[in-house]
Amino acid sequence: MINAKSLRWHYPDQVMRVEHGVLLSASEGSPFKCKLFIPAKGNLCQIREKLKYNVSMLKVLVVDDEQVARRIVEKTLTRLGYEVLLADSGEAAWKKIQEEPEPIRFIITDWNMPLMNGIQLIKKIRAAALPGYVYTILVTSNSKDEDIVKGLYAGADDYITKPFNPTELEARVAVGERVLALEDGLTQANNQLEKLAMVDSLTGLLNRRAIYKFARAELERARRVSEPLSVIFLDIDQFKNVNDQHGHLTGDEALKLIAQIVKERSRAYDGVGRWAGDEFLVVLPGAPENAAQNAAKRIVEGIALTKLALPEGGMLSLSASAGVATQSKVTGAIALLDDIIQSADEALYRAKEAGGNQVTSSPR
Amino acid sequence: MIIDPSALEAYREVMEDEADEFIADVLNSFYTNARELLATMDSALLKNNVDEFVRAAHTFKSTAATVGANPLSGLLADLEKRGESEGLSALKPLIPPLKEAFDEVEKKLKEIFS
Repeated sequence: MINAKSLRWHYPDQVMRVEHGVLLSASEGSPFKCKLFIPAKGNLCQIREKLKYNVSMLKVLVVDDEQVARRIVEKTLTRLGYEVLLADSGEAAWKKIQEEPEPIRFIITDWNMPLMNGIQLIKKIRAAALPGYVYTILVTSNSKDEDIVKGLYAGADDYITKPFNPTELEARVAVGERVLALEDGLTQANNQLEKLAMVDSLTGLLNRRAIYKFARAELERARRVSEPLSVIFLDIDQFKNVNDQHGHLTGDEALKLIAQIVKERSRAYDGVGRWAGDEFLVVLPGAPENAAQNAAKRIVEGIALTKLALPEGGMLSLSASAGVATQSKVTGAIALLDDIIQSADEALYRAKEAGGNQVTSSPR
Repeated sequence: MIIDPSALEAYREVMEDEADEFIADVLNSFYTNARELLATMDSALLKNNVDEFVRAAHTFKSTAATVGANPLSGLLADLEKRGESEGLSALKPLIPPLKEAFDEVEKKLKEIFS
């Protein structure tokens, strides 16, 4: 049995007390916000988990037109530490699902209700594109096997027959919670992967694929709103020498430092990416030629002013060259993007030819 | 057995120190609800509204089972089924025994959980 006493033993520096089944903490820097419901029959691992991270209580929507059953489920779940929302009909539940600011992820619904019944409600939920999976338990007094099968095929994740045993309800809700936690983990991993797939791991800038995608979207937008679009193609001067004389680790440090300067000296809504090796591409939505030139100068000057501390001692001066290309009125199709980048690359080549550490614009 | 006390006693384990309060609360809403449902069944009989009668009987049936009133619940299951198949006119004579059964349930519940 978990109570404040056993928790105090595990968390001796926490000041806590229990009121009406609610654990309250009074200490500063508490690992949980302010209150934690104690599951009467939870195991200690679960409790610890909840203490370690900030507690966010699972919100459960209970749908039943029968008052007594609704009250019992409400009281039992509240006692077990869940936040409970109530609806007395399928329609009211559907309204709540759409209106609740934080999405409802867990629903316990009675089957037999007038107008929209539990099965219809679940079908509606499954058909709607709701953010995140909604776990549903069907409560039924129809305990015939074929009815249960029908409920599960309609989209219910689980069922419980009325009148139910409270410990069974507790266990089934815990199963649902586990499924939702798995789904959250997957979603998080997916988001992380998506982010990783867009980022250059060394510099943290967008990678080539992502900056190209950004440029293409911005070009499309520029065409729609008749705005200019500029790109800056930037390359570190004599980067090969840095690698040859100081090693690849220092080369990597130089790339990271320059990436940081390029990012810092760009506008928040510019796209900054590592194109290849020591080449960087900045995409400036809405920037006319002179603005893009100024931006490129700011970056090139910033790089010339910065020195890289070498591990063997001493400072290494760096410089870079940039080529600017602007499409003042975007009319053509997407193929144009490659032309713009090519123009900037050609301008960069001229900047290098002229001795580096400078900016040249494309005459396009 | 008019009442199976284990139906509500099962909540003691979960509700612990709040169990008495919880059971009292559930019983109060049961009494109120049951009277409303009986009234609905009465008026449905008068109007000869089969759907309304059958729905009320169905709800009453599961509410009764929740508090452990299994014979009462069985009586209501029978009314629900016969309402659907035979219509309401044949059921009128069964209403006074139903009310008596409910009164007994209420008496017994108050005796057990007081």
